[in-house]
Amino acid sequence: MADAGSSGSRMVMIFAQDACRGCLRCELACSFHNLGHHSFQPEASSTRVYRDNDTNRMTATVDTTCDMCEHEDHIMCIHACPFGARSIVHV
Amino acid sequence: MSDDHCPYGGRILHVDLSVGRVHCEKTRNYSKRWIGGRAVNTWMLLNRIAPGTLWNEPENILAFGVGALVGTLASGACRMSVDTLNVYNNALGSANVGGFFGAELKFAGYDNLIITGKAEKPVYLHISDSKVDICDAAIIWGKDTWETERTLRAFHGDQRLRIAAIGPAGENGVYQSCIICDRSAAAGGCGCGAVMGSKNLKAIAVRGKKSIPIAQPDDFIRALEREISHISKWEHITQIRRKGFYGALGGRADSKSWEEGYRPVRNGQDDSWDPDKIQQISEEYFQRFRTGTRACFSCPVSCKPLVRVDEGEYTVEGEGWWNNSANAFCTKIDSVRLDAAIFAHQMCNRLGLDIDNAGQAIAWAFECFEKGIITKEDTDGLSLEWGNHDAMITLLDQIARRKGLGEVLARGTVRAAKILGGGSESFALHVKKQDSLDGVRINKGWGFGVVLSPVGGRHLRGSLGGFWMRKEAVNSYDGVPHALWHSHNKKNLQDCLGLCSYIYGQTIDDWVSLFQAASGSKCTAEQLLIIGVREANLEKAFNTLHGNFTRRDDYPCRRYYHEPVKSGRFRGERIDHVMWEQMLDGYYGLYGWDIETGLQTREGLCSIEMEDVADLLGQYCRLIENRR
Repeated sequence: MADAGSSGSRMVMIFAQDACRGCLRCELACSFHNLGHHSFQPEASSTRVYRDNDTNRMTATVDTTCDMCEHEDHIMCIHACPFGARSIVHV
Repeated sequence: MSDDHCPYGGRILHVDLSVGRVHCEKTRNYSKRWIGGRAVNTWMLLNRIAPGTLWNEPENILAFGVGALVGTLASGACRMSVDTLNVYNNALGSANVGGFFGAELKFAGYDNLIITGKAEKPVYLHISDSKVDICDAAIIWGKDTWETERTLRAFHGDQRLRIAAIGPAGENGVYQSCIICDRSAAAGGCGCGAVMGSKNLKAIAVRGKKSIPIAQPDDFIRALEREISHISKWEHITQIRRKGFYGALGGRADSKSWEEGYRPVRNGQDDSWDPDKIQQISEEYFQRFRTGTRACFSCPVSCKPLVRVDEGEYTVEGEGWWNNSANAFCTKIDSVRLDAAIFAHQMCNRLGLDIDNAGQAIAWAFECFEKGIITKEDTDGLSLEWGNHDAMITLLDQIARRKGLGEVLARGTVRAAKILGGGSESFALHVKKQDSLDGVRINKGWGFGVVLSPVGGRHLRGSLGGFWMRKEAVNSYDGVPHALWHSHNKKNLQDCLGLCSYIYGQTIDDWVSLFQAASGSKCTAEQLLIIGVREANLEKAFNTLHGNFTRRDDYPCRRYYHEPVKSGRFRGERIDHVMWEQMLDGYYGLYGWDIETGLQTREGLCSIEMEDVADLLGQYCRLIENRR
């Protein structure tokens, strides 16, 4: 999974399907950033996680509202994930 | 933002199914005194259900209460309390459930959902923010909980619709029924599913887009960082994340759980099992069936295993397997067939059956068969011999559908024993008439907690302190009353905040910091724990008025006094009458209850600012005005 970029090198977000347990903490953390540190609401998140009940597979999306957590100390979704399911690579 | 009620959804939704009326009130009316979740539910029940009301009458309330921190990043903040009249005794019925449903209800703007009345025909509730519809349930009535979720998501075109549903067991008024949220999270015990079925309410489907506001965001983030660092230091966290709770702790062959009496054998005839049999259902064997683990909403632990049995007669794929699953479907009926037990657990998910209650009813039936009280003529040829896993699977289905012997068992074993007689009452293991799976004889803290649980025989509502908090030997009576008193108050607060009991490492100081920052209140730990004491007293008052419970209802079954443990390290262990009486004295004293009767006192209630509850009990002459 890849998204977002900046001038020069490009940051690509990696989602490790098998590591994700579906807790949605990434969505909560992202929404906190997007809502100006005032509140939580997964619908306001730039990233969404889905579970397919037939296959038990987890999938994730990142939409164009993702700003890679500008002005934050961490990229929120990565920092909030307890299972190491998200990471960033620079390409 | 100034009008926001941090960190709440802000409203309590009332639904009267008899007349189809829906209205809201502000959470603020209750949150200062009761915080949220369970205590708000209990307050509603105490004030709005008349004593003498039966569980299946429209006047009964089915209350869903989401904890105050649910919907935030607080670890394990996903818990919802379900409270109602208990089908077993018409006193307090209370269950607690994780998953995702509770958080979604809060995102729709509702901290509590209070359901009264009875619909004329089967319905489901569809809640989408402010829009609340009571819909015809013809498309889902009769379906299991997984098919119900699938059908409603497809019908409403929303794969993130969160569903709380009953299965066939709840529809059929089965006492062992529960409410299943998100496929495998169960609001179990007390027949919550039957109550929902009695209201002709098949399911609740919810989706919400309201934000949960935080009063002091910077402080909240700091509190989160601290609690995560505490949780990360817990020694078993890595193993639980990889193997689930059973795999990491209770299920290992070398776990003390096998010898300390949490896993009664053959309907509690013994509390110790053959080591060769333990090996066959232990984690070391279970791992071949585990395909991963899954977490509830906002949980950094992920204790729920995904399971798959892909060969033999019990082929199944599903989720969930707990220590008590092994008790209900293995040790209690003396079966070593783990594949059958996993299959049984998945049946319970889909049929909407509580594992503990259903497992106990089946174990009792097996002992009736052993003693000749039930014969093959009563079971349509089914042989209920110890270890017969096929019979266990058949009985589970019969209970859910009230077919065959299931018609009798579906009323709970106390009532079933009255029907069958023959001395079967003596081994119908119950607390306050609710079937009880848990062992009582060896670990005295655990056992005392099971029996003193306000809902009757449920370890998660009673025994955690007896298990974790005592330093004494497990079979010692020392320190039990205080450990249980403290743990009951703590668990009550935990359920008001909506935090999960399995987030080890999280401290009460973490709870306080998170709640202070989220709500903007300056509550201290002491002030918050007083709410736990008040909640214990609310439940006690409810049980006094609705169940007429007194001291006489706080004793274990006769088996635990008269039949010692037969084998293992604690051979000969049983409950001592005198010591039990002393534990009761100590526990009642800590709450300020009357030692002789177990009833509440005006002095005790007034000391925690519950004069109104004292007055209510006084109106029914169920209060001791002057403590002896």
